[in-house]
Amino acid sequence: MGWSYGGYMTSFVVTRTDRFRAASMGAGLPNLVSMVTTTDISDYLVAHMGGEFWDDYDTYEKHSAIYHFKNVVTPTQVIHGQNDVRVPFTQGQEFYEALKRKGVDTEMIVYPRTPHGPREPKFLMDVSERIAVWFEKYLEE
Amino acid sequence: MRKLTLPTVLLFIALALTTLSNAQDNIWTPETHMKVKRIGGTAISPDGEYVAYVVTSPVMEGEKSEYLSQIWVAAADGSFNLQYTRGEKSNNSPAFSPDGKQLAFISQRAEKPQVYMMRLMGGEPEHWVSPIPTSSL
Repeated sequence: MGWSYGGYMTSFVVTRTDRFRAASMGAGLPNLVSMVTTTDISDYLVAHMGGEFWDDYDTYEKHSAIYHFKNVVTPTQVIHGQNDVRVPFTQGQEFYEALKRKGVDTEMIVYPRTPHGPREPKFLMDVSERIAVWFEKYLEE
Repeated sequence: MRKLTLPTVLLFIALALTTLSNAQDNIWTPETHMKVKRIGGTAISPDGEYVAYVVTSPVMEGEKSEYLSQIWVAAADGSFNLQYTRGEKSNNSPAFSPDGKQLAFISQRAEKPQVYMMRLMGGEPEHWVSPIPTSSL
């Protein structure tokens, strides 16, 4: 499980291995190409990637979970804040829809009014519970 | 080595059970996490006598789900520790005046965050400057 960059790593991990019984991606970014054109810090991402995506699709695709999606079998929970401009909501949506289409167990939890991480105390309490319940479901089997 | 007597053994068992039950009482849950108040935004008076700080706690009654921050002031020698601001709106970012007699802070009590000044030893807060553009916070 992970949030933000940890969410990115979570999305990447489930394309690389089936060793985990379950995973949880919070505010993750599985698609670095669409991330560049939707995040509020595109310059940061482009600098990090070493150039624009149209000059180097290979690097962007190599590091984006969505381009290795065929391998995913791990039940993966997707959590995102609806008002996240850092890692836009659509990043979570892309992964969730792909999981659903591929028939991999998933659920998407969307927090309204929420930026790049829960702020309201009730949501902060809820998110811990949701993650714990998700893992319990698969670790008990 | 001294031989363990029955009362000693019973005492050890009783202690072990107490520790165990305390451990269960202290188990981490999202609810217990919320009970921990957050401390931040500290400021020390120019003479080093006082410390102003911000205590943030969750408000979750009914439909509410927000954090409320209030400023506290404590004497550095530990002789007092008092809540300095009150109300349903947050007060943050305390800063002492150069003479140490007033405390400035940002309050959400009006529509937009504004800077207020209050005498360190009591009084009503005075509105000090015009509204701060939200984008600059």
